[in-house]
Amino acid sequence: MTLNWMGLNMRKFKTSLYLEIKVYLKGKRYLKGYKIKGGFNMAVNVKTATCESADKILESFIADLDFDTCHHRIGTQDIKCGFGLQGVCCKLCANGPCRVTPDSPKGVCGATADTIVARNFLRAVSAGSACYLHIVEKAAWNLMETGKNKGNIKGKDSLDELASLFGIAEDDEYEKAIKIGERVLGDLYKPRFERMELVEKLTYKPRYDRWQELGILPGGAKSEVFDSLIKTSTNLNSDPVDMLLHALRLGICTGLYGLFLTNRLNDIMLGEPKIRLASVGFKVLDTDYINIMTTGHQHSLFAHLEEALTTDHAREKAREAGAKGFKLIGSTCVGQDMQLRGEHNQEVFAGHTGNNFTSEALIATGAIDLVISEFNCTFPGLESISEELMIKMICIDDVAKKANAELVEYSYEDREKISSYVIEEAIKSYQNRRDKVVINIPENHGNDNTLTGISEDSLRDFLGGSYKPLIDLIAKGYIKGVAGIVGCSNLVSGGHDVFTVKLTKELIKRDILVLSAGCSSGGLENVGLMSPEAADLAGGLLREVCKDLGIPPVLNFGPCLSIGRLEQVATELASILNVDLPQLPLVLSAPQWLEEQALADGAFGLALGLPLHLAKPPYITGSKLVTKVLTEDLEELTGGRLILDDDVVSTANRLEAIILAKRVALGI
Amino acid sequence: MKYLILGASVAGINAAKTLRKLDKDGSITIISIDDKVYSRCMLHLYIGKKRSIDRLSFVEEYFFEKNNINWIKGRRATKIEPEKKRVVLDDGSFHEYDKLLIATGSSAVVPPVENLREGKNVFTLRNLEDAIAIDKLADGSERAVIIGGGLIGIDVAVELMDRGLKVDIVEMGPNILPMQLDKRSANVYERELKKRGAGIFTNVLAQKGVLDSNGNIVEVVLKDGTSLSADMVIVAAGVRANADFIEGTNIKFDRGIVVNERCETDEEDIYAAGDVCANKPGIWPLAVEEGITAAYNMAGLEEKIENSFGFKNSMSFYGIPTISIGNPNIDDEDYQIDIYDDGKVYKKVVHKDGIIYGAIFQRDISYAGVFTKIIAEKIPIDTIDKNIFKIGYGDFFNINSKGEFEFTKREYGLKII
Amino acid sequence: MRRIMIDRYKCEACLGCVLGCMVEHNKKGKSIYDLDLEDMANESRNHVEVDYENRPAPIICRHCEDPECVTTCMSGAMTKNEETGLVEYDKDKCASCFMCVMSCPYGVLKADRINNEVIMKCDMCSNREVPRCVEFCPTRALYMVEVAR
Repeated sequence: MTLNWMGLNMRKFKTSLYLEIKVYLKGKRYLKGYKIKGGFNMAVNVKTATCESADKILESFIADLDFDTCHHRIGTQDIKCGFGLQGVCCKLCANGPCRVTPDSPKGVCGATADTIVARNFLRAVSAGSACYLHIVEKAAWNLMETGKNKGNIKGKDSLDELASLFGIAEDDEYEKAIKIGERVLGDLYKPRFERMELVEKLTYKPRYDRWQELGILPGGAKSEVFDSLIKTSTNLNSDPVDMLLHALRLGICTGLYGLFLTNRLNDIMLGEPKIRLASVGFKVLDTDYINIMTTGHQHSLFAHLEEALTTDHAREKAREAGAKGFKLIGSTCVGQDMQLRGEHNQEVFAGHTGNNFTSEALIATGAIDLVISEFNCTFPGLESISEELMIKMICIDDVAKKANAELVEYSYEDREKISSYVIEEAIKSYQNRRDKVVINIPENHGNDNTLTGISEDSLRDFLGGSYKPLIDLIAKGYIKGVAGIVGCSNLVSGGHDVFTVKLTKELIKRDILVLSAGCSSGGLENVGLMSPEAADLAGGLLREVCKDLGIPPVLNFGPCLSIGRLEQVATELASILNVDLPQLPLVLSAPQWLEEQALADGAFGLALGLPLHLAKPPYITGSKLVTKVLTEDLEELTGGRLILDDDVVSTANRLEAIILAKRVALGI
Repeated sequence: MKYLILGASVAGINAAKTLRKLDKDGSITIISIDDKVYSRCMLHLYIGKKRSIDRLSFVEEYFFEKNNINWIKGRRATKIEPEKKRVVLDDGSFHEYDKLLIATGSSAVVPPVENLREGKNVFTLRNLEDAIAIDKLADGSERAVIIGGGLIGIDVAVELMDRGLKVDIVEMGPNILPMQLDKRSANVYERELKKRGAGIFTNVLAQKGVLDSNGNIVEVVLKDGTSLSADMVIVAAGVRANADFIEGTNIKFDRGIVVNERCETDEEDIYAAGDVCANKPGIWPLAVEEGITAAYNMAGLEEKIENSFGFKNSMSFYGIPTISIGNPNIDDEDYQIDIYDDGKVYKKVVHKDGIIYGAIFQRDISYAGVFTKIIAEKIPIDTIDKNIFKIGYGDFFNINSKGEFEFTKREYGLKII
Repeated sequence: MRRIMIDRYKCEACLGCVLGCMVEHNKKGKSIYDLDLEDMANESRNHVEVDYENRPAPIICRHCEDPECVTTCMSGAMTKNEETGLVEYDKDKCASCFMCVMSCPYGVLKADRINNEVIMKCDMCSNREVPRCVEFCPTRALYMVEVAR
């Protein structure tokens, strides 16, 4: 943003005298904390109060907003506590907070940096794991209820596939659904001393054997989380290695159940992903419709609403209210899930607008009439904007209850009542607010040709029923290797999606095919990297492949849950080559990880034996032991390891080097 | 204006530097026996071969040139003629002045012990020449006896031992460093010295030296009959002011030149600063302060000694630092003694009615300067309800608009509960 | 001259300034992630005290107009730079006599903890525009001012 201040162009500056200036923007906000350089007859550089985004249209839209967003607040939280960054602050007891310094190398209790860091890390992983287990638990209950009530089963292939994998010998599809749900829940609810039964069925054999050798096969998933809380409570476990192994166990629970099974259960209920081109970004907003924005991770909670919104009754009511109809506006991961299965919901699903740090901007457009949230990433920051813009907030799962939202707890039993209520409230909100608020939608945000609907199955179909052609392309060197760019966006690694986008560009330039799942894919699609035209940004060999196939060099697997789908792709590749996962020329990066959930995903990646890059260290560097185990020693155990690097090119170099080394080892 | 300074050590140099700051054009002349500027506090480091002569300096390079100071080296004043406003030097020359500063320091004294003054291998350590002589003789020596276990004595003992000599220390007090330390803190150093082979003889005086045919002392006999063999003897048992040349003036002398708080003597336009002055401990910081104060008054600006508290010493032997402030050895029931002692770090504070009179900090001397201030200015601490060893500047914190620290004013005797 | 101003009432004793100082003077690198918090060689030149009412106070060198540490220095290691106003410390000249530690009335100075040789003295991060302690202060209890001399 360029401001004119005292008639001077403030973009440029060149002196060292400095002044404390407060600049008022639109009479509201002033830029505190930013030093403004300049002499007297000088040009002054005014920084915007917001952070950078990879998506420039979004960046300037947010910079001009009168609302307070994460992009504004990051500037007021720019000074970080060094103890927190290094993970050596402990407040597990009343003697705390204790912080490790050279003057005070141990907590009051005697805990070392290693213990404190490992405890904090395991706590974070277990909380993240708990989140995903909640998601799969709800999905399993919904599937059982769907079966019991003979509800709509859209993904019959997935149903059969899972039933046969689980060894369920029922003919009736509803019975299958019930049994599948039961089996999943049965595992989740086991005590910790009982191994979960499905782990072996869901895991590539060499991996399973390795986990067994390492003693990290998990007991009941919820019990694993429960016990990790015990371990990390006051004056209990102090063994960093034991805690790290526990984190791997939680990673397995997260990956197989929270990720993989959630996808498959949702595929059964909501239909399997089909590859297609779709519109993304704020351009999907149409003010002629009553717009319902979704945030969260639990697609099955919207199964009924998706159907209810397409009934004649609903259409009629919308028209009565003066709108053309209803639109579901995809935001965050549940929006990605809707986009992924968009083939089955073309009428009301408008498209995916963006990821976590796009959501505040989305409601700030004023075009949203109602927000339904059921999980993260639902920022508290939505609250004040929604109040101001008179947007109704409804939470349908109390784990994501927002302070200003009405809680309408979802249950399968009450689904019809809930959908009707949502429709009514959406209409009420639409009628009440539209003439009172300013609608401000950025122009040309997003695109109409993002390739979506990619899953382990749809990609296999696309490749002709087998992953063999992909292996051939890798073997011939057209594709150097595969990188999974996953995780979230955060605002600390260069800004919103900045590292993610730069790293992705750097990798495709080196002929590395990128698969993305999570908020990262939201960022990548909005900047056009998931459109076929992005092939031009790839290296010569990869470009040729993309152009031949008409695909972008960055493939959109959708929500973070689809990290489970990436694992399936990896497994298929490994099994064709008859090798274990760590031998594949495959790397993972969650460059802009944000949440505890991302750390649980990360633990899964490490358990799978994959190299995992993070741009921001996950609060572990205060412990030399934990850092060494995760970044070095783990390679001997699972084959995976953490790579911490906050420089894009250096990261790309390191990831490429790993891929090249693995190619050499495979003899290709 | 003609300024004349006698002495080129700490007081004289600081006076000259300050004069130049205050008077850009005046003529400044320093006359000294020394032909080098050096810190007397570092002479022992020369003996220990830890510093060359160059590195004993405490002034920047080209100090005299940069400050336009005329330095007459290798000369001593023999007489002052106040009525003629001039000083007579040992070569018979005269030097006139408008303002004169006497900063000639002090000399070590050798106590009247039999043969001690006669012995050719007996040294004190006050001047660079002493250090050079000790260094030379140390090369062929195996044993040294040090008479006086004060700061200088221990400094020399440490360095000679470092050079492989067997050293015996004779101290009349109950322990070494009796002026600064108590038994507990002195013991730490005694133990370190003994560990390295030193003999330590306390509560005893030297009775006589036994001379050999060359006039060297080969044996020191103590009052209790102990006999210590010696190749060299170092005497570190006190000093006296270098002020013979004031004879015939009205300058008052009482074991040092008597000055007022503006560093003025009883003779007009004659000032004195540093160790040559009477009635105060000869410590570096005071000499600096006096040199600066004298300079202000010589330049016609009123200035008083602000900080005349001289009962403070810092030391460090074998990597063990100690700071001693005030009198930590008060033996009086009315005083309260607080001690922190974890076997390594030792801290002691002696106080009465909210006023601290003495303190020792050993091994952990961090931030101890606050206690120097509290003790020197008798700042009451009874309103501070906390562990006395945790008292810090934070308890007096006050920052002015220029960002300078000041001490919060506290009411005497008022206890906040 | 430039001085680090302290608003003690904004101080939350987070020790950010202490970390910032260690980060800046860490030989291994200038990022917080380069700082080994278990390495005794990392030492801060400032510190935070809590007073008798448990209120924190950041203690950071003032670079005094009339610095006691310079007055007492007998080796010429501690000097007042008349141009910048900074009180500078030259560890090569220092004879480790600790008279400065003894004499700083504000208890700013200490010796290094490993060898008891070097004085932990604020250097205002040499030529850095904003010293790291100020940069690391989340409450802005520390900020830079230009003061008349």
